[in-house]
Amino acid sequence: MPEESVTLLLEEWSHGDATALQRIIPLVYQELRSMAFRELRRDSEATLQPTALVHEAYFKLAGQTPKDWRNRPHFLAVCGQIMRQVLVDQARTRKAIRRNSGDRPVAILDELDGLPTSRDVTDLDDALQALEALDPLKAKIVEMRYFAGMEVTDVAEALSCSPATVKRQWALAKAFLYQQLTQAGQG
Amino acid sequence: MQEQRWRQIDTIFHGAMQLSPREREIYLRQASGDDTGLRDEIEALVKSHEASAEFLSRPAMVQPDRVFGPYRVIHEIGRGGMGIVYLAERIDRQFEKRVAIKVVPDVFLPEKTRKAMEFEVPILASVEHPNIARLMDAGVTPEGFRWIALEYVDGDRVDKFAASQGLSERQRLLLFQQICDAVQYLHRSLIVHRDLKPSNILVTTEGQPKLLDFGIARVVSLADTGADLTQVPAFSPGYASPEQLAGKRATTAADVFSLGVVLYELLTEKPYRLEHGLEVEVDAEARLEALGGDLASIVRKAVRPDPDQRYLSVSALFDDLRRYLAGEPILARPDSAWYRVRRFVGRHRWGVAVSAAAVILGVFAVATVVYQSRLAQRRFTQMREFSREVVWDLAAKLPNFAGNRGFRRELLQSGIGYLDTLSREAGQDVPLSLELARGYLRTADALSLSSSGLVPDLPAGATNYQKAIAFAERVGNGSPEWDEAQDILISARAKTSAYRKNQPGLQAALEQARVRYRMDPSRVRRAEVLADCEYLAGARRTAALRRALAVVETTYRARPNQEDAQRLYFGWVAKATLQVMFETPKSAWEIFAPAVGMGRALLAAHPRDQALAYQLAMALGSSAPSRMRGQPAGLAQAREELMESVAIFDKYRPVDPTDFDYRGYSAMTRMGISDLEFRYGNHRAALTAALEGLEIMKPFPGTPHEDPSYRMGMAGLHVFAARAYHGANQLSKACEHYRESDRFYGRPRNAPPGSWFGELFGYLAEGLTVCRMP
Repeated sequence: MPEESVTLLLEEWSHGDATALQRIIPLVYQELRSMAFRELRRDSEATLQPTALVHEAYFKLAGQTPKDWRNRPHFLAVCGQIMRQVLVDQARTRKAIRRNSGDRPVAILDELDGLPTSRDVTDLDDALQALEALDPLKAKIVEMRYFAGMEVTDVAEALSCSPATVKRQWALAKAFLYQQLTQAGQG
Repeated sequence: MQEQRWRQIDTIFHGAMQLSPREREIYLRQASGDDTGLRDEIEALVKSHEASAEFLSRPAMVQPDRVFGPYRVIHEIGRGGMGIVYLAERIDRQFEKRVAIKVVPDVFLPEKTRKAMEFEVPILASVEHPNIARLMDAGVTPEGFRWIALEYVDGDRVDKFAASQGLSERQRLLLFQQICDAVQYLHRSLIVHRDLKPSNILVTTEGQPKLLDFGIARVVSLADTGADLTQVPAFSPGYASPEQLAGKRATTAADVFSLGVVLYELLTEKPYRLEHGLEVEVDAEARLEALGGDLASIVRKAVRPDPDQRYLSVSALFDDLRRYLAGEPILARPDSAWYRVRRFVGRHRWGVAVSAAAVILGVFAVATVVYQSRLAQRRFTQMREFSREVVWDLAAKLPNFAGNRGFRRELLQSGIGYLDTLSREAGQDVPLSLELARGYLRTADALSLSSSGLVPDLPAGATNYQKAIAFAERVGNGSPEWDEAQDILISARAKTSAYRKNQPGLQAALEQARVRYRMDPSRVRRAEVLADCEYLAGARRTAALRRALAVVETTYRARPNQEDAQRLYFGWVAKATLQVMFETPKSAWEIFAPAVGMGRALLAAHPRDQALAYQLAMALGSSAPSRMRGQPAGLAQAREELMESVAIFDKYRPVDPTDFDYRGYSAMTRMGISDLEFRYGNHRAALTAALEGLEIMKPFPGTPHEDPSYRMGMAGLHVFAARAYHGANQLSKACEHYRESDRFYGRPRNAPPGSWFGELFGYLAEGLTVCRMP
């Protein structure tokens, strides 16, 4: 089954078989897509484009040194890390463009939802770095939940812990980031 | 130190999460002891937690770019439905007109659904109605974002417009009728809107309503293949029909429901449903009463939970409003005892009459039966209207849709389904019998002729010809329908006879057609029927065609129109092709000249019409052989035309690679190329082209092995492959292909020596002789 072959391929790749990665992506791709599909159903207003995201993720991935990846959720977790990079880079580029062409109104802003102040993904990245310094596991969970869009159960599997633990960590991580972002807004 | 403190925070925070807000305070005081700093910190985090419900609740995603095809985004207009909507303008500023670009994130939908949508865009783009915002363009960005550009409408939501202009009830109803008209137009084009609501209906400053956003609409007949699409909750709960909310397939009845809700809101200026609840319908009921009897009945009938009890079509709703406005009695009856009894009796209405329940219900049950039959009559009339519009119009357009065999087959099946339902009720109704005969003839043609793009299904075709005959025979002499019924009868008889290899039957039909044609040679249909019969009888093919064409041409010249232009064009191509293949015209390509000219003009006017494109490519491909046999300059000309032909085939590559038109015609062009290269002495290129042709024609499930044009094509391709091998002195390979060609060639082989096929027979005979030599 796909699950097994992904695991197997991950193993092959981590043992130095560079072609294994090329074979992993099609297997995981569908998963990533359906993940996005679920999100779309949940919120019809979301402007999702996971396909582009996964493609970018793949290119970054292919250029990376293989690590010891055990299974599919683990792989997705790594995707989360890459997606974070992609998004932050994209937002930085946009900011630069905005600075250099002050007169053009920018239609698309990557504003974070649910915050009283206007903040984008680069600010989140800063806050996340602060969290990382304090509690790397929680930062990782944010990456998986927010950037890779993984479900709690998938995160739990990737981290080999219970879903309840993931939920608990996620709650505090979110509260912490929220605080960081709103405080910074005032200051 | 800091880490330790964080761990403390983590533990206490988690503890606090398990408690109610009141308990929390006490707990925090106890847990953090003297450390007020710690307590403040945790309290702040708890507050943040409470405020952060929305925060990070949706996964982050990459945003689309700001240039879509030839359009540049000006600013965002809104979000909703299936994505973001931007106001945009053309980059080249070629037109002043602004468009609304909708970025539909369907790239990650299942493959099948994406295909279905790709297929749908050209259909949606063909929708042109003054009250519908046009779909102008569509595409996919390099990053994979799918977008559609719609006519930008600067206007107000219909409900806001009505309120701000202080429209009277009458004005509101007239406005609403225009909306009905637009929706009815969509339904006739087999499109269900699925998301009708005030925010999708704008009114321009001139007071013209415009329907927006049928991006989620689906072609009715795609229902089964589109199962994935229904997974997307692409409708608005406030306006969606109960069946949509239940996740069932939305039909035209769903649009009737949504229109009913819109009408209600337009008249009462109150929402029909609040956020979610159906409980609010109690309020709705009270407001309906206030509207007054007839209007309330109309709205109620439109929004009945059971789709079968709503208006059967939007035009029925429209008509009832018209009656109301004209002061005539409306058809929608109030929810009287009738309705309640009927609901009670439900499905067992007939059985009820003899059951104990009937005794108790007494007169009600009898009355119900009477009512039912009246309803059935009305339903039948509407059904008939619908099938006439849908089946006939569709059957006529069938070959013009982009080549998707599955879709066409499905359309055809649903068409046959309608016909069968109708035929059970036809009785002695003469006009209906004629309609049925006409319908069965058309579906039978579509099933039997490869020109419909379908793989011919001759047995199914024959069954439908039989039905056409049966209904045409019901039309008696003396009725106004008789004349057309005769044409249908003769045509269907000739075709079944040909299928059954019943020579006397075919001859009889031919004779009848001849007599009728001679009686009045100015009638296009008679000439066509005669041409059909003569073609089937194998006699004087081109003569028959020429005669039919002359009639079409006369009518066309007298009154130029699209339909006849197309007919004429297809006819010219067919005639010229037949002449090149089977006759020996001195300069056959001259026949093609007008056909090619007309083909180019027609295609320019209808760039999305695949059938037109294929005909043009075929005309270009078929004229090449006759050019080649002319003077040396003809070779260069032929090469140019063949290249153009290949380019057209590439451009109009069908969605479905097994598309029969595409395979047959493009293989034919390969034959022309092979011939050309052979004449230039390029044996290798000649071989490549022939093998490419064979590859295109490679058998696939449902290959019409017995279809004469298929066999002819295969035979030709094998001869060309053989000749190229022969020319390159690879005799054993050549012989393999000669034998294959011989196997495919039907008999008798009576093409005149000077014709293209005559030439092929020559090569074949010669080749076979060489191969038989020891």
